Amino acid sequence: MNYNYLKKIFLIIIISTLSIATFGQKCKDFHKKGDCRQYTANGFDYYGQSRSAFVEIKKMATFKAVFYGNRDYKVVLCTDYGYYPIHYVIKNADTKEILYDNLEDDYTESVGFTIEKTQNLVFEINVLAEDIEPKDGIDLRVCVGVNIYWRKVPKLGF
Amino acid sequence: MKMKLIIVCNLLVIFLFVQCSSDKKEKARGTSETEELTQNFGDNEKVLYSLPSPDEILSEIFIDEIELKPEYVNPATNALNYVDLKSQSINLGVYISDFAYLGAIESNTDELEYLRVIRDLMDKVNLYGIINEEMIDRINSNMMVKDSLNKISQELYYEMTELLESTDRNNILVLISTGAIIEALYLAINNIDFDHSGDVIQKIFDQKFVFDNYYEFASQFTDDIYVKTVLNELSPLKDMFDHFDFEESDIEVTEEEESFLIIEGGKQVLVTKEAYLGFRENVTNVRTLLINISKTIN
Repeated sequence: MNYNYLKKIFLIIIISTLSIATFGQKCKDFHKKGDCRQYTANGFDYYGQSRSAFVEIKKMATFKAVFYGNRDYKVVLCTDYGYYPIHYVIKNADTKEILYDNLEDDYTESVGFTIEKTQNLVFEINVLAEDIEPKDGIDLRVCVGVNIYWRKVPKLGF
Repeated sequence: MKMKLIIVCNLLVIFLFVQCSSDKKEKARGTSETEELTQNFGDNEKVLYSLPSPDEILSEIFIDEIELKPEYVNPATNALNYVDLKSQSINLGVYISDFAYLGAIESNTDELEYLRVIRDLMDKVNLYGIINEEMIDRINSNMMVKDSLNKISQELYYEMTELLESTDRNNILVLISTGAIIEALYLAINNIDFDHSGDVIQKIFDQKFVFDNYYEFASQFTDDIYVKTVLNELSPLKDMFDHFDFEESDIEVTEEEESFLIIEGGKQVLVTKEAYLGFRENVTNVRTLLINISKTIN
């Protein structure tokens, strides 16, 4: 074993370690950028429970958050360019009842709803990435953002 | 040449040693690399939980103008008493809620003092750099703009959450969230009396859903002794939430226009004076336990 050989091994280990650490940070604030940025008008505010994550394509990922009653919400999902469409289903966390499936709206990335009573909702998200033929492990993982906006239900009448 | 070879070998050995020992620490804390990835909702079995920040909880409860009572916050002077990781983390959460609460009181200017306490506790639990001079300047210049203070408080909470998740310190996140949620509930329930509460009690009881999410999230990390202990301390409250009476109706979804839904029905906790008094007592007891130093595990 000579010095150059050891040096190469050492460098490979360092680079691999740094790469793993970088992937962890890769999706930070992804939901605040690009395709996810919408709906700040009409009294909607950013809802802090919006999140980003690094997920595997063609595998279901689950996101759960509380949605308060008497509020309007706009939810926008986004991923990296080329990895669309995203299929997602929204369920009530207690009853597991399906409230919305974006398949019915041609995989639209955004949905709006009014909630009468506070409840936990579960988002089951699957990045379908129909145009991607993964060449290696890196192609299999991608950022997903769930950006949520909310506002009080506007009062009707005079 | 030989010397260089020795140095490289030594570095390699140190590097491998550090990796191994850090692996052991992670295993001991029950937070393996696999679990970190699953936190990124990349696994079929696991769920990514998103918990609201204290200012979101409080602003949801106190939608209408209401006189807030600063005397209920945990005094800043107590911070010096928290010398172990568990009480430092929990009370960091407590003070973040207090900061959000004080930030909503027009006449109050104690926020900076609380922010300093938060920064000190953050340093103690190795969360550096979130509160920097720039943030303190922003707070100074926004002292009278309460909405801006709310945004800063929210930013601080989510920044901290992301940092703890990305560094695989979910056990600490659980402890901080515990303090934050319990303090928010304590401040809310002590701000009202049953007979003049309007729908505020309903909104406080609605936080059951936040508590459920928090509890499910926390239960993933019970290998950590601090998390296990704190969940035991919360058991009277958990028990109470689980035994609330509900009024329940079928969920109905109607599509008003393309991709806009109206979701009606679901379940709602029944507000009674008995439930209110029991809840108030339980929250106060748990909160007292948390802000005093735990004698069981230090």
